Amino acid sequence: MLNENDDLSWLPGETAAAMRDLARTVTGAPPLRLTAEATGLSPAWRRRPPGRRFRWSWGAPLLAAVAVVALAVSLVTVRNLPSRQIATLASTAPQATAPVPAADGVPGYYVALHPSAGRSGAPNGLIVGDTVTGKTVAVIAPPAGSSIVSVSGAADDRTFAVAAAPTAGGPGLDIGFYLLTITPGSSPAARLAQLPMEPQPGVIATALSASGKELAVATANRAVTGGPVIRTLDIYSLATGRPLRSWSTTDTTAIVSDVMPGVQLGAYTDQYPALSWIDGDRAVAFPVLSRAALPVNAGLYSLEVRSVNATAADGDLMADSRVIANLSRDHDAAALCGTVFPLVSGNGTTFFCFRPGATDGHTNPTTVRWPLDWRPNQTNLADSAAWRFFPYIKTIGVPAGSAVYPATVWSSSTGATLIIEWTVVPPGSGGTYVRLGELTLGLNEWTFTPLPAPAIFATGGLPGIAW
Amino acid sequence: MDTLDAGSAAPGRPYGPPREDAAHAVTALYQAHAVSMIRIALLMLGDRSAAEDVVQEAFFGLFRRWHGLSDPGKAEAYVRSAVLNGCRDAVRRRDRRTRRDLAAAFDMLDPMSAEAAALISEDRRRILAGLRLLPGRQREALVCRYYLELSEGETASAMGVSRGTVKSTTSRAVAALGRMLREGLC
Repeated sequence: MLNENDDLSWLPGETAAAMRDLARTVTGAPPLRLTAEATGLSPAWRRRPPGRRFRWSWGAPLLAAVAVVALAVSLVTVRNLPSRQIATLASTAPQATAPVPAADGVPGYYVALHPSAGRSGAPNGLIVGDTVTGKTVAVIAPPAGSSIVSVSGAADDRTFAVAAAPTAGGPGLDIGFYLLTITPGSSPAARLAQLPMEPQPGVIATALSASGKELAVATANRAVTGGPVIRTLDIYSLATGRPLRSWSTTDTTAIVSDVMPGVQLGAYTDQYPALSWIDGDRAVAFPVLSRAALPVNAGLYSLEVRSVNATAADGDLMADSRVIANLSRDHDAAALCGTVFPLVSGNGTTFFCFRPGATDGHTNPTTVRWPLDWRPNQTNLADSAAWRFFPYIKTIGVPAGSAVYPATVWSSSTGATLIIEWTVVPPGSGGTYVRLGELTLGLNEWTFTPLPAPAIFATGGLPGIAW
Repeated sequence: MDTLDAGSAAPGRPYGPPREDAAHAVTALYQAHAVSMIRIALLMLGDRSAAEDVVQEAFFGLFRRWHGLSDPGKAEAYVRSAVLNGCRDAVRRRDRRTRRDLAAAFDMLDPMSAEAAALISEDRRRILAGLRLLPGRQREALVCRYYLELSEGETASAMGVSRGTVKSTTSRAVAALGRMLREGLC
């Protein structure tokens, strides 16, 4: 085992040796394919007139592969926001088959990770923007020597918890915690202050309660080298910085964050939280994903949403939590939610799935029409027999060969208003773009309203963001 | 490093499909360098199949652009650059997919074939596991500096960054790797 002060001068050499070991396992190569058809590339280049800029165009095989797009993932903090509502109000007419929650609005402000100095690769600060106009409200520099790795919001659309990792190092560093407070009209419009919490190692997810008073922090660490990974869910008081509750487990399926298990915040710049406060801050929902109990069959995984009573005593995370939605045993997970975590509304009764749509076959050499199929459920999570879905399908046109990554990134506490996004990654480098929109549930259908997607989101897709 | 403008044919050469000589030349290059390129891509991606795909694309790109290559003697450097670019794109796409698709996340957990695992010691497997957990640019810097043994200048050119960035990125990558090993995260 290495110690803190161990000399690492041997590491580059050993890293090189390890890489050579792995490289040596490659002893041959498949035959070269030099036809467009064989490589899955469209022969469109043959038609390119002289002098025009070359354009990649991908053919059906790759397109079919891309059709298995990744899906919405995050269990985001869900809040009911009274201010800056822009949603179209739902009809108040009674609905016979299922209660229709009153529509609420989208939060006034978003807070997103943003490379400081506008430079890709620089430590992340934050950018505060107006959800409706897209205008920048404030730009926040990262704490000295740190890069911000995640952000989550309270219900008032003014209070956000921020996690930051030291810049000297990488994944696995102790994460420090800060509070961002937005005060529109004042100068500065937003302030970042350090919270009185001890930095924590191995942080994989955080979520600020709707009240903005407590922070849920999930960690994954080994007590001893080679020992089991212990996943812990702690709840901290922001006022004192002290832990209030703690649950832990060695079950590797618990709190699988939205990146690969064991990867801490900071490994990626666009992580979403995997924890969600529900039931009026009385419980924390977390995802449990496993495939061990199921046959190895692409697309079939055991996916549960569990919740733990945030006011109960410390204990075992799995024993003390209950399943509030089982998305694989009673339903065909592949058809319902794929292998992604659903977004759960703050009232704990609604979840949202995204189902990949297949391209509709209406293609030309450069554009594909692509249906995006959101399937919000508007009934009690626990009663799967009563699940009732209100699908919303949006068809978009994207460059052929694009990868499309749709997601539901925010929900009101009632689940009647959503913010959805889709990121389009055209083939080749560059050209990534993000679209945002608001969905508001009426009687039985959703109304879509575009929201501005600031240009900063286009550099690599939607960054780590909270509303 | 040689660069190509994909939209420009060399002066005096009418644009058209790659000719027979291009196929022969690229095939010969592939036979000579495919394995080494797949190795680079494997280190970057940790996935043999994805590595082979990236290399295929790189050589096919070379084939299509053969007539725009100002110096065929630099074809190997061009392909290597294309492989690194392709890996970057693949990592970016995979990171997004992994972030959102848990099937992909699980697949990421078991990147090494049983055959490879049997050939590599436990300590080195831990280093390779840590390598996979590094951000893509840090991993690329380590591959360029320690596997390809490129100089800082050559690495800067390959990665499209400054020499100072190469130095700091490499240093951070080693520190991060050491920390992960120290804390048993890999």
